[in-house]
Amino acid sequence: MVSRGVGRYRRGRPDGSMSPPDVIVVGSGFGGAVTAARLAQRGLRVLVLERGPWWGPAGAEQPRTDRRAFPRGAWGVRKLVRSVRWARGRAARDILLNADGLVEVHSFEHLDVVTGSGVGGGSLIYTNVLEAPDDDFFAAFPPELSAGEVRPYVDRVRALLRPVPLPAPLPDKNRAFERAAIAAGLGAPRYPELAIRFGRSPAASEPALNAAGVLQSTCTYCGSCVLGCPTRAKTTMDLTYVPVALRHGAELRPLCEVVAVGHDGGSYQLRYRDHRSGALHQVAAPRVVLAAGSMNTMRLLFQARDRHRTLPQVSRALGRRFSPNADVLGLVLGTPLIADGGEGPALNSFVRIEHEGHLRFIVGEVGLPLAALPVGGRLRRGIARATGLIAMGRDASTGAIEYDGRGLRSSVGRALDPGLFDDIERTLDRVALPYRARRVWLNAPNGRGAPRLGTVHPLGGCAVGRTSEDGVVDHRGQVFGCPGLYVADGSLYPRSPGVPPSLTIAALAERQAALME
Amino acid sequence: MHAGAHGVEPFPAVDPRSLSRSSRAQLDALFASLPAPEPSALDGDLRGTQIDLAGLERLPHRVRAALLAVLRAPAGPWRGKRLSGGRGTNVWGVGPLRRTFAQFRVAAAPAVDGSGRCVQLDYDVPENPLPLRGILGEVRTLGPGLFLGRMHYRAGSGRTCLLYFTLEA
Repeated sequence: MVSRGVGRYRRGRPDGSMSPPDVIVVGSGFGGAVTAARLAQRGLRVLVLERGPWWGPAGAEQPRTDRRAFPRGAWGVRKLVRSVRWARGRAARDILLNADGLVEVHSFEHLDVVTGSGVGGGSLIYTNVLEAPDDDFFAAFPPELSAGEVRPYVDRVRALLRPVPLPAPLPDKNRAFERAAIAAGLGAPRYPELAIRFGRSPAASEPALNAAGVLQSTCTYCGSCVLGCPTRAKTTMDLTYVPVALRHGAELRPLCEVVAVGHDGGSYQLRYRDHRSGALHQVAAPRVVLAAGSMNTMRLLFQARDRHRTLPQVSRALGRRFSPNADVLGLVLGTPLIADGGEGPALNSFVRIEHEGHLRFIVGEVGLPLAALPVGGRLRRGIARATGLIAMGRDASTGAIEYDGRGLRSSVGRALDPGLFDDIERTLDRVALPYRARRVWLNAPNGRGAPRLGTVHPLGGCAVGRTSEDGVVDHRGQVFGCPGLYVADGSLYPRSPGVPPSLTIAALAERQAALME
Repeated sequence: MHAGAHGVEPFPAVDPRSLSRSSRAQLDALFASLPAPEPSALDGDLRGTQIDLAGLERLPHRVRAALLAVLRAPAGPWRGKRLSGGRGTNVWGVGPLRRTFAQFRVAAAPAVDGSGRCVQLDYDVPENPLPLRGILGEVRTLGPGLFLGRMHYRAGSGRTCLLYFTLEA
């Protein structure tokens, strides 16, 4: 069955009451949306609790209380930041600015983490790249989980998201990046698959149903990908897996943030705050999937283990094997080679830097979301002659997230793998040179060589392991010692892949849903 | 049909504001239905909110709601409780200032209404002034990291339930 819209969520009974759910999924990003869809297809009663609202055109059919326009313009920008979780030195504060904001910032001693919030989770603000990691990445997983074993699940994700590489003709910024990469001796960039619908021309919209039966438009090359696609061209979770889940009877509650997890007899209890009314509610189910994003999944488990003591059996490995995926951003400012740095999909090509036949890191070009920024005049013209270079790498993945009884803390920074970060900065410098820029700002906004890093890919912390000694969950994503409690997000990663992690998170969620009893 | 903003909320509300709309009889029934926590589950700082006070049930609904809103207000002096190793105290404060006052012993014991086990907070300890020693608290688990409690006052052989409160870890 196909429908042109996303669909509304429904209640189970005509009187408005709901049957007790079989599964509660916390979060609706790459892990949560996939798990919810596949479990609902199996006939299970699925409840999805999502802390953020429906965003942009995908929310058009939802009630006004549940949807928001993407933060645009001088007034709309107030909805950009949802919350800041600050934990530096002795200071620690959780500042909730807007429960309906788009991004959350975690600021640790030497690391800033930016994550998305809303129906669709990280897919709302990611750069559309669906890239499978190299086969050797799976050596860090238990033997049940190999590259070959995961491949069919990767194919399932591809079948629903239908990713394709950027078609010709290429925007100016791509040609500039190609020349720069070749001049730096790194060879021609490769064009990975992007979860975007492209038409014959960016100037003409060609709406059509996607693989989930939802109407999507085509990319206008506005470059706003990382602040939410305004045209429904980006194939996000709220346009694919979430509608599949809803169509199969799942209920999704937006603006409902889970604040505590417990266990009572045969079922898991969740306490959540409905940000629309301000009320706290409780709901229970025999199975719970935590897919709240690495930081929030870790926080919920730490609270359950150490503060509420409702799940004291959670592994002591919680928080370990954390990685920022060696994200490093460089800004190339004032280059004569680019007239519009915001043209085209944000990140659509990269070069691989290998060491002894293994991936060490990638360097790609990421355009700035100029169309979405509330700037004009000279400033806008100045920014238009700028672009970003982004690196992701296979760092040591030996970082730790800790819990001080109130919130998360971490000392992860450049010291996690200084050799790698130095190497990345040197390479970014080489790639930036041919741009003949007025200024190159490496490791922005912290600066070259700074101990402080920023990442949009917090990974690990609830790592897949063989036993509870070396991991928090087993190969099916089930928390050791907690039957029925699963984790399905980036926190599963036992090491950094060095490429965008979205495809693998979704594929592992496909596998989890297939294996869940 | 849309859930949450319209229609009946299918999942029970457990925040202090929602609970304070319950009558005393409803709170008694809720308390009787809850499981007892392990005393050690209460260890640490718990944020407290008063949700009911004896005598208010006879007041008009709006007056009662207004008085309870004042009692729940974040600016109120009672901040909660601090428990550790079988002992506890109440935390009071205005703004950033904090003081502890009114201590108690913590132990698992039968509830005074015969509804089964609960965690008892017994104020009959030598550190307290005499008038406080008649207080007996009872706490049960409302949800993960969330507890419902009530305070009785012992006078002779009788006991009067003075108030209900929530504690949040």
